[in-house]
Amino acid sequence: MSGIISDNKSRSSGLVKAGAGGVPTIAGDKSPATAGDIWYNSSTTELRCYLPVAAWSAGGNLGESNRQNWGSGTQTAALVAGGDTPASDDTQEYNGSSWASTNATVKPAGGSHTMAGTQTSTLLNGGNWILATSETYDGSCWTAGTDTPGARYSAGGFGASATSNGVVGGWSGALEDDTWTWDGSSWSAVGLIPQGRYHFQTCGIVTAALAISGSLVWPTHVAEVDIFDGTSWSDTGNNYPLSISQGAAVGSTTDCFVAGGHDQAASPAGTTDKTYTYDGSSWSAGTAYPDDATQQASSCGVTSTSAFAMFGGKLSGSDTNLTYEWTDAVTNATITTSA
Amino acid sequence: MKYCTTTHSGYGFYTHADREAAHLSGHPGDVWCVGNNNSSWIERVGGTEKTLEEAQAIVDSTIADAQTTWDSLDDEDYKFHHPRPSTVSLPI
Repeated sequence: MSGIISDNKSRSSGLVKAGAGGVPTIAGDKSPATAGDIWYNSSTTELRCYLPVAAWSAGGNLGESNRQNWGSGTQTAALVAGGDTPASDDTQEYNGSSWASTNATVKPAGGSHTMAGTQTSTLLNGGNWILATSETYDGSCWTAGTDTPGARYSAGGFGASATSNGVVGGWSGALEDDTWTWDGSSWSAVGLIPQGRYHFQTCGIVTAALAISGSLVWPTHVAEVDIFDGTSWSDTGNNYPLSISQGAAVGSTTDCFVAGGHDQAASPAGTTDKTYTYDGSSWSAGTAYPDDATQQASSCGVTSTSAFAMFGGKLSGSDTNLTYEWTDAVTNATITTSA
Repeated sequence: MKYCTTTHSGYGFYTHADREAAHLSGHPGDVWCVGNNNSSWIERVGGTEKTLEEAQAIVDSTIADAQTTWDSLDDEDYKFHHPRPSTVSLPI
């Protein structure tokens, strides 16, 4: 369509005096607006729009480079603990721009535990050395929790807080398919996941969680995505587009974001920078992770469209302390032209 | 710093107050390091006190066993995902 605006009768360039041709005139910015809306702001004499903006941006670096750490919380109030190469017991808090160390975990230093919750209420379970121990973080210290019924390494974690948490699958010397939920006072054995696996991606809460892809006995991976309703797991039938392990996942059963991981189906198999979002029925490709492909990174965040961060992990060459934040938002913007 | 061996007993084994009172860290071989010479925690959890050298020897032995096991594994999946256990120097 050409750029002729009906009120600009001389068809000359310059000030647009009023909106026309279906573009509304508003003395300010439109509110509420829907992505894609266009209007003429008569106060600033600008053509404005409500524009979707989805992008990765660099955040503050972790205090140390490692992988197989775990994270919890949100992009502006995140928590990361442990990790490998070197084995670490460090705990750090993120405020949206920088990381600060706080009290270390107490379990033997290492990674591959599970963590879920908030920056002030997180439960950590299992980990390297195949542990059954759990610790809870209250915003300043880790304290001993109740052991899970079995010892696990690289299980999947989900939950909203240190008193509402879950652990599924993992490795105990063999693949496991148990699920245990924690209500703040005891662990309950609930449904078995249809296909026991480890190094997989999990997100959600104890009444609605997802288990995404993952590793079986090497080198077999599955793309299967299972959903948990608080009692039992079932196959969603909506396989993840890749067969990955050790990616990062955040969100809920109807609004989930997955990034990175080890893509066993790639040729050659290796780290991936691909991201996907899930709306409860299908997966959609997203913007690639901005750096070298990564796996074994931590993540935090609540939904696919709210701010989300990935930190640490193993790039294709070495471990990293980088943090990247994902923001999927809509914002007011001015439409300009260029010659 | 004091050192002991004891088995993690779960909830209440160490508390927020314990963490604020002194350094506390767990290590391979059920070895625990306790700051501020905090004998009361060791007594409460039924720990067996060790010297630094004794405690370090337990950790080293446990890790050496784990390294031997790791080196002998044919399970490439385990090796791919699970780093070879590395040495630990207990805090002093």
